[in-house]
Amino acid sequence: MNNINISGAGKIDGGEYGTIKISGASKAQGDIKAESVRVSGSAKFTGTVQADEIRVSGSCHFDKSVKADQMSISGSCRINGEIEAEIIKISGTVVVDADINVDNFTVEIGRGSSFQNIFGDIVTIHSHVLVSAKEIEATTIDVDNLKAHRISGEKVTVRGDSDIDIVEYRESLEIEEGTKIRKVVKL
Amino acid sequence: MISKKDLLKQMDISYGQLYRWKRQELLPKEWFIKMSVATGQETFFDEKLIVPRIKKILELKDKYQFDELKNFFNIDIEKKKFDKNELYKVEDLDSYIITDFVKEKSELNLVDVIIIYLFSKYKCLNYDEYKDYDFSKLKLDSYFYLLEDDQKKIYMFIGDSNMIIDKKLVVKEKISFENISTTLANILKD
Repeated sequence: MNNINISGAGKIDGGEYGTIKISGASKAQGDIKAESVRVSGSAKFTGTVQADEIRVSGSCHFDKSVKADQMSISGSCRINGEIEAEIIKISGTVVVDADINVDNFTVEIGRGSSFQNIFGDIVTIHSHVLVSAKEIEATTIDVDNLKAHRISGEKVTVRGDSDIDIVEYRESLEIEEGTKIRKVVKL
Repeated sequence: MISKKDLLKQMDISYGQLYRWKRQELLPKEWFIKMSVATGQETFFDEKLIVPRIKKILELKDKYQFDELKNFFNIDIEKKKFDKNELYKVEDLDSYIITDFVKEKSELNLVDVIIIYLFSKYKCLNYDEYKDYDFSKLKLDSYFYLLEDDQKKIYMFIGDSNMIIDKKLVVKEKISFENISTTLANILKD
């Protein structure tokens, strides 16, 4: 399997790779399948990306869908397509324009991040600055400073300056004083 | 056992769907088995249970509301013990057969009720001829067959879904115990 290492400016063609390491600026054209994608510079992916591991500590733009076992972003990222991953860890600014289907989703910091719908098992958003999402449906939801239309889960915790239109819970709900919730529904 | 990842791939469903069905109790929590693997903890499932259930959910989800779907997979019914007095009230169950079953057992489980239902429904089978059969070891993944020979005599057979049956016998009916338990769940909830 091909490994690619770009430390200047470079172009990557669509295809199957082992490890893709980008520490410069690069553009990938075409659908990418890899074992590992590591970006510590800036990268733009115009096709779909499927990898066991995706690590971004720079800036990244994904034009289409992303599929990974583990995804960690500690820079800034914009993703225009759907994300499907087992584990997603974000500690940067991430804007996702489509749905996220994930097992375990964690946002720490998250300044300026915005999401559409997040569906999964465990969703944790602990951010100092407001993070926005449309709807979150998960088994366990623990959010701090989230602005959302609707969150729905088994065990839900809402803290900080969170501002949520509808909170649905099945088993337990913990709301910190000061949070703005317009409607609470016990399922 | 099948891993969660392989299951999602095989059934072409997403994490969101899997967990939503778990929250809605369409997939019992007990079916999510956490096991330690080299990379940490992973979730596994009994393939024989989860795959047919997910197939069924996918088949029915556009026709029914989620609350109604739940009645099809009433997980409570699988563990439930049935009170004979409750069963006597059910029209579809023959009271003579119930009485005979209750003689041997004080509590009836789902398999017992399925057998009562089958003999109540298929009157062509004379229950008295089958009184001594031991149905107690049957599992919920069994299938019931009604077979007819060229003399139009009827026989019953209970086995797997893939039985090779002599072509000289005509299969008049083949029903899964799962389907019967769905029917019973609907009958008994009224």
